[in-house]
Amino acid sequence: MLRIALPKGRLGEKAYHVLAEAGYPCPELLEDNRKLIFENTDAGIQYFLVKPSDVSVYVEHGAADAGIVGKDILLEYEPDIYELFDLRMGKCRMCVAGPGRFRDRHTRALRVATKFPHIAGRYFDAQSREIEIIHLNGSIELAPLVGLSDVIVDIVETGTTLRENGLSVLEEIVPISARFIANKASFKFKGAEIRRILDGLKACLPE
Amino acid sequence: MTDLTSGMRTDEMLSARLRALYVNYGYRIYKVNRFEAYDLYVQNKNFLTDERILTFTDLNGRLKALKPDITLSVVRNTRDETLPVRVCYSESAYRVPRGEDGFHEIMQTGIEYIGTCDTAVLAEIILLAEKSLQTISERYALDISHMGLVSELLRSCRIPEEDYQEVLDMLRRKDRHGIRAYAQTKGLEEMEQELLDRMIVVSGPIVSALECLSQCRITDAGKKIISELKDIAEIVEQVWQGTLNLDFSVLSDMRYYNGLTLSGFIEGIPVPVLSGGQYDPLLTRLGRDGQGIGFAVYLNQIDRCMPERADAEPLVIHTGKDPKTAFIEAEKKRVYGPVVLMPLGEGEAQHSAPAFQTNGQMQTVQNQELKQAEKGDTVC
Repeated sequence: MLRIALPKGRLGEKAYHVLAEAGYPCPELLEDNRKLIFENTDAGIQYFLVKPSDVSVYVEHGAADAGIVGKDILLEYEPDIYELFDLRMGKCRMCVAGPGRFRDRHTRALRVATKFPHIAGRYFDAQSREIEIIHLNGSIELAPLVGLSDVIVDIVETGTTLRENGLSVLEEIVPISARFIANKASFKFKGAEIRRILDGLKACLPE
Repeated sequence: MTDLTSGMRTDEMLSARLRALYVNYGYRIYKVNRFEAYDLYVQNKNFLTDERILTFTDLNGRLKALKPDITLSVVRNTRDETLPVRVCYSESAYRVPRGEDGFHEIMQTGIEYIGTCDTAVLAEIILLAEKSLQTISERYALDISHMGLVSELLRSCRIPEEDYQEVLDMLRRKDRHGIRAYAQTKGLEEMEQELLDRMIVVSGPIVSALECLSQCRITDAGKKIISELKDIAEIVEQVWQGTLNLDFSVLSDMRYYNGLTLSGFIEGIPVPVLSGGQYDPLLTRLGRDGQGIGFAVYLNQIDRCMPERADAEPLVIHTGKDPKTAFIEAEKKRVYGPVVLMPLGEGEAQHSAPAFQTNGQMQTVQNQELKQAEKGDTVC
């Protein structure tokens, strides 16, 4: 039985549809219920629905053999896992954004509000730019509007939220998409099953 | 005779078995001081898996550290010994494990060899790694890689040295799409892209994996290492039936490791339980000649794959009104297993002692005598 951690929400649903098409269906997962574990013994699969940022935790600690997770989470937490396939879904960009009129004058540390302190830290460190990180958990766009920060580092999908709040993309850090990941030990002992799923995903999502 | 392992935790028991294995191969048991001078670790911080170190100032004002690593101490403290040095140890290291926020005491048992690492020595190290894993569980996997070979393969692909870290990180993650994107960005030739791709995909029995690499265009030095690895694998396979895998996600820091690297897994444990490699550059940095190789087995998470050990049920003897007799009787009965003395509560009947199993038979104690248990007796 292969255990797969899926992120709750839109990305998880999209990923599930591809997995189902690849031969690992579990229709109960789409029903309106509050269950967190779903199993299809015939297909030899068990799905866990977890918070998107926790998928890599489940996989790294071996509670799940594999999972679907955004590249943003992998860059932020750098889990020790195998990153086996780019599903090319849930595409977006990690960006520095701020008020359209903002100009970094380098007269003091740049105040950066973000949910991704590690990514932001590494990005500005590579530019030798001193920053002050303000770690927020949501509504990041509000921070520069109320003077909490100069800029934000966040995921931008369509840019609508930024525009509606008078913000714009200042710099693009890295493109983001969903990845199929596996626990390193599981890959040693359940390698054949993991490779079978990988082949199924590749067949459903040809490059 | 008392079974000594009954008084040991699982990790202690395995540690003792592993040391016995290493001693049988001529490794001398070595004790490392719990504290080391802090400068040893500062000067070699890249050798450590985490740079954070527990420090304190000793009574002479010198800055000391609770050792975060054993190899560094062994290499430094055996510097005056005649080569080859073969030592094994069971020690605690103090460091912050990956993904954790605090220091842990990590129990590890391992070996270090300092001398000439010829084919026989390297084969012996691999064999000991295999046997160490099998001591823990029959369901194990040993992956090996070779930092020198990795270096030659990257050179064969014309990867500039300043990009090595980025490429090694992708190899560690088996990030095939990342490697492809990198190769295209750098304008690598098709054959070079193919070799990089094989470095990610190759994961399996070593001889066939090396064959797969041999088909690519690689440097003469790379070909020589492949040939040496095949020799080593073949002699190991002549004496051991395990499966030795080649996997380039098993990588170490090139500044310290230049040869074989090992990573061992046990089914049911999500992280490697064995890791090690050949560290000649470390010896050079510490002012020593020669070559060195070693590995450690981490026993922290070992309970996750072990069946729970049942505690032996004790024979309960009530002291009652005659505690002296009960004491003497208890000592006589200890030959059968654990015995505990219990004061008899007021109004409690002496025959309320529970039954227990000895030599496959249910027995009980009545009036201080050991008797066959009968239907209706209380069972522990």
